Amino acid sequence: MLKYIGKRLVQIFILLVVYVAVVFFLLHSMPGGIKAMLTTNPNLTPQARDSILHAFGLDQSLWVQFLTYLKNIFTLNLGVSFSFYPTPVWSIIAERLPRTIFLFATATLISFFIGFSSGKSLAWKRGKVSEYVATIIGVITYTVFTPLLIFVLIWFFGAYLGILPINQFLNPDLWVNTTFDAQTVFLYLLLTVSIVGAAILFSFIVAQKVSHRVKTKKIILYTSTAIASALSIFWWAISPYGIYGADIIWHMVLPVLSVAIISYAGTMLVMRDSMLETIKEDFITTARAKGLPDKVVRDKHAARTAMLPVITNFVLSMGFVVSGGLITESLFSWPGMGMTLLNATLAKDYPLASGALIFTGIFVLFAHLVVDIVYAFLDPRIRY
Amino acid sequence: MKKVILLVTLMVLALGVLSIAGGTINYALVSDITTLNIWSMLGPNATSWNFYVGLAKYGSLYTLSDVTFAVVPSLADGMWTPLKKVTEDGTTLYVTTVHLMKGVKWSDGTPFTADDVVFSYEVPFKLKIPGNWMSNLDPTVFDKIVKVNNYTVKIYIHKLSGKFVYGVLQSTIVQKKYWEPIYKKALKQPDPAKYMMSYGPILDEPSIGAFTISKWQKGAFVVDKAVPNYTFRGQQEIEYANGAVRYVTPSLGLDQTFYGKAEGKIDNKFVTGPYVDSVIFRIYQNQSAAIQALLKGTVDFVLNPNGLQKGFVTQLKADPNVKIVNNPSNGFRYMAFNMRRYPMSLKAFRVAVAYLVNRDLLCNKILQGVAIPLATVVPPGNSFWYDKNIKPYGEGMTTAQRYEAAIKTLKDAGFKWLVEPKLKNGQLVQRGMGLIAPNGKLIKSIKMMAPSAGYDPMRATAALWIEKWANDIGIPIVADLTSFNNIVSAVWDQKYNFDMYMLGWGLTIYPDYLRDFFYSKNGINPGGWNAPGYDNPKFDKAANEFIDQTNMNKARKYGYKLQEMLARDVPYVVLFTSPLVEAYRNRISFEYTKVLDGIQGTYGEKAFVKIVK
Repeated sequence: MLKYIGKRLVQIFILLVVYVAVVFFLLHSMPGGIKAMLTTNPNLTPQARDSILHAFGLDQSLWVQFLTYLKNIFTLNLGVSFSFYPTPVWSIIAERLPRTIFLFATATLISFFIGFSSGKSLAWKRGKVSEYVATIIGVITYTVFTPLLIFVLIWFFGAYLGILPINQFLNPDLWVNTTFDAQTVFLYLLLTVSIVGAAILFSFIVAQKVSHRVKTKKIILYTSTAIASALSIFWWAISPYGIYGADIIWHMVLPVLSVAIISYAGTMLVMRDSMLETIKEDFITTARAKGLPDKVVRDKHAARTAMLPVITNFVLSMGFVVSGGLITESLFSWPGMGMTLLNATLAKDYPLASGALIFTGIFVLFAHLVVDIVYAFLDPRIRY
Repeated sequence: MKKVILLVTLMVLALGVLSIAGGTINYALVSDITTLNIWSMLGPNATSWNFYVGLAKYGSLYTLSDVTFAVVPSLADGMWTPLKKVTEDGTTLYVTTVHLMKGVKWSDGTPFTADDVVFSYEVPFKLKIPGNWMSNLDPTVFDKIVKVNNYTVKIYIHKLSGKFVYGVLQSTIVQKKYWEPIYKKALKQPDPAKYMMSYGPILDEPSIGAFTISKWQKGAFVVDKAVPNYTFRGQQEIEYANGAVRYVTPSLGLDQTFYGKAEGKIDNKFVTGPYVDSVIFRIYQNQSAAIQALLKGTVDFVLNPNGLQKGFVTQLKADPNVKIVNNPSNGFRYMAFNMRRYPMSLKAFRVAVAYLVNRDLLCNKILQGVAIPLATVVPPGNSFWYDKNIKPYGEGMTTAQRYEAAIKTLKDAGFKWLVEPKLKNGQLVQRGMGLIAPNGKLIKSIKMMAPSAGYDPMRATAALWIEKWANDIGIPIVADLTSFNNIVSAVWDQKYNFDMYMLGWGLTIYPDYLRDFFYSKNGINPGGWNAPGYDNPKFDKAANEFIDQTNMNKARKYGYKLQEMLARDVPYVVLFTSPLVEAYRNRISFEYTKVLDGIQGTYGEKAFVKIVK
């Protein structure tokens, strides 16, 4: 296993070098360029233009720029943004990333669980009306034009019912007198979610070790989840950040709902198809013949095998979480990595655009590695 | 005694107005700001969004008057003294003395003095901070600044130039007390300029303007708070029809008039606030979100350098609580001739084409009002510099009259046709074909490059109509709708490889572009701004005189002369400008809404805006 991971890491490194080169030259081959943008600015004298180009390092040849950039990447230096000059690209990513991760990871997790559970149940109840209805709804939401769906949701919940905020990730009227920034609250929110997640995982492992009875396992898991959640809610209730965290979560409802509606159907349809294939297998017939309860056959025997392709989708989606979503971020005024990439590309801010792309690339490559490792754990037949 | 009574009355009035002031207004930004650091904001981060939020807290010796855009004192006490020639260490320089206003205070109570001015000029100049700093304090113009006493400075320049007035004298002033310790640290860094530009976040920096920035929640909002002890609160700005501008400043006991006598009809009268406690700039990531916020009443005004899209205007017009204002933007779309090539080198040919361009028909009927007709290089909204006497070719003519004038112009210059165009009873009854130039050669085809409809439908439409009008009288213009980059590449990268092209310019208030765009030497080497290759020694001479003027009244006379020559020789045919449509809720009111480049051009009139509901 370790040998395999080592081999994959070398492959990932080579892929990363190729990826960095492609990103660099692709961005620099875009028509226009920052030089042209500065040339058509009548406010700048030629000297002032040249001084900006010098500050950006654009007065060197493209190859020299590339080699410098490559060296910087592998010393974890993504350079300095042109459009936020002289702010380092890392600082901008660090500012935007928590917003993006919190929104899209939440939406991805929710859509995964809804999609996984519904896909599993639908396949089990195949042929019934509920399956057809859910499948049709799933296909519609999966194929709907994303901005249209978002506009409908904004209109219905934000404008017509007026119960959900439709823009921005916080309410400026509430935040106007704060002494801390939203990034701190986002980081605390992420920390809370991570701690609760770790507690659930830990209690799951403990439950597996302590007892073989499903009921006992469930009691341990649910109780520890409830305690971890209650403690985190208590901490937020007494902390000065409480109301601000709640404000962010309140502003997150509609974007999460939109992303979840769009992406849950993919998981649901994959899970349903995979389950339909799995329940035809001999081992499922054997399990039923052994007299195991239906729920156990479904959850423990069929779903575990059927979830492999869903897990692949899920882990890769989690890798892409860091890239954000341009449409969602734009329509809900939730400035994250997606908008950063778009704006940087439009502004010919090469360091920021390539930094955002490379950062996403690293996560996606890493997600591939995770998928390979997770496969080995989930399916005992897979060994490297 | 009269002055005392006037001052007391004004103070009472000002206090009265201010006593009803207060509250918070909300502006929408359609993009995030990137910095609050002034060195960076006027350097590589010179975006409209940054300016909207942050620029008004700084001062300058001179500024532009509201609406009329005349150069007037801001922190200076009166106009600068005439420049005198001096020799220092064998170098010839020109020196002027600028007196500073006494009694002006920063928001932290520190008095504004010559130290602030000298520091603000020396730091960017010595550190070579790029961008606007270097453009304002252009090393080919600016030499040094010297403190004479706490309220007087002497400025030395290398040459007489309008850039001295619009650059050097309008360079931004920061507080020395705040920045000096940071500057000292910067000098110990390997790259001091970068250190200065990256210093921050800056929320405690004192302001000399009406507002100061109190909070920046990145990606969400920025708060500008009114400065309670703002020195110019209650200042009256009175603009007369004769061009005179009068400032009455009760807090400093000043009553000054520039550009003539304060008499006759008053065009504009403004009283400076601030009238609100704070302005919250809410940041949205797209215009649609900002419009929704405006309709909902979450924001009072949407700031955007490009104004509103047409679809949104229709939506907003339906709301009785929203007011729409329409202003021309400071720029123009134009058609240029390559005067290095035949027959574009012939004035008659260019004039004939100029006659054919029916801007009114194009803008008001064909483009249905999405463009504003513009025939001059300096837009009328730039009232200080605009020459009202310019009469563009074909003004007020019908299409048939234009055809007749164009045909006559061509005939008079010796052009002939294989099939001559004919008009009868105001109708074109025969299209012209086979235009033969005065040199006897048949003109086969003249390619006019214009942006495609995907990039700019207005210019694409204009190009097709100009092609039609030209073809009607036998001028074989072929509109080549292509990408913006292809045009830029053909015009500037490939050494003026074009017959005609259509592009646009964003302009500055100081029309030094009159020289830049048409000075003969700027059309020799590839990439020069004089793309048409206009070469007129008389123009060059007048352009040099214009650019060398430091007296704005004299500069204006030369500016008029240049505009007249350009209107006559038509290296460019200016077509139209795009309207800048803006919307605000009737909860607030602005001192003025009719202004070149719209309310956004004033950064939202923060010192004037009031809550009326």
